[in-house]
Amino acid sequence: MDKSSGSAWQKRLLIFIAKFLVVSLPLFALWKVGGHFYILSVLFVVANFFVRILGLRVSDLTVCLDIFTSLIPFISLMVITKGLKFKKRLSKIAIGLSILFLWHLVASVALCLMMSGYGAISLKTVLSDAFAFFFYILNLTLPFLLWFFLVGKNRIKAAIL
Amino acid sequence: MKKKKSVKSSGKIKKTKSKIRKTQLKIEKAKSDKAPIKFLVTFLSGLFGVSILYCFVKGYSPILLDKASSFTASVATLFLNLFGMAAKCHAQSVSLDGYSFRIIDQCLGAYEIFIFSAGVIAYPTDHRKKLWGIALGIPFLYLINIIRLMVLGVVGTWSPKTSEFMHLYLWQIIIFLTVILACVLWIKVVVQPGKKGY
Repeated sequence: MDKSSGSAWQKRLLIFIAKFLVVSLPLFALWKVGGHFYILSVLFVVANFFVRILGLRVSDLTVCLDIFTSLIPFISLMVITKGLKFKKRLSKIAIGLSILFLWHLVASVALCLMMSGYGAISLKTVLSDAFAFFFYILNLTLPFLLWFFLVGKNRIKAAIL
Repeated sequence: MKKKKSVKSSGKIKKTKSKIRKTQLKIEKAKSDKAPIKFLVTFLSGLFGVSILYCFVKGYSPILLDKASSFTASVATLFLNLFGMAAKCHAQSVSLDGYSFRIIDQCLGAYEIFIFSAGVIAYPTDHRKKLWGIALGIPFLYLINIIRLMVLGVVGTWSPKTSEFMHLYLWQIIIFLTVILACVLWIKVVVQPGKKGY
């Protein structure tokens, strides 16, 4: 392994991590200051609407909605990716955020149903507990998976490998 | 006449070779187009598998998780003391200069380990490299988790609110970065050592 290629990927990785932190930390600050409240309020209104239409009775919807937040890592990854034109970057961010929003709704309502002891899918069995855990852990990886499929492996390789 | 025949047959051979080559390229392209889907399906299946295993252990042998939490608390306390902090450990709690925090199952580094392991299993490489990845990745991620707990503990002695913010909001970022770091190191050191990035 020649030294120049060895130090190059390490440098690229460090730059990637630094860029990610520089972009995500202010976004988190915005989230803490007020973004958290406004975004969860919108989600609550939409989730509540669908729950009522479907005739479901759930408790702790706000608690469940607060669990599946993964916007900031995704936005940070999309912002720091090189080689995307502005319009294309914006459109991909919009697509990813829409998917995350939908995921957030579905996962929160599903978890709520499980927590509310809703029939066969209540959180009383190991299997339903596993589903809830799977949703949670998938939520942690979803920003990366979306980034991978929206941006393409070549751009990701260029960024960090 | 013979020359004409040989020219014709060599022309036919060239056409056939060209067709075979085109078909091979199509197959390679189809495989490469399907590769991300295959990775995603394997990755999600792996994640679901570990979720079932984890919840099974949590449901039927919760004492194992309690012991893991106590062990992690002891290791974090040991490392804090090695760095000159007067930390104390009691069961699953670590106390440091008037600030204390409790290690629960979410603090074990298990989530990062599950995500990383599922990614390694799904990555298209040979089994030996995957085993090496998991064998090296698990202690690496556990160590990063211990460092995270130490930092939270030290920040907590200075400002418990800041420590809480870091714990709740930065936790996802930290998981994300540590898993990416572990994956990249595994790919560059074990899977493709010496190969240029792209």
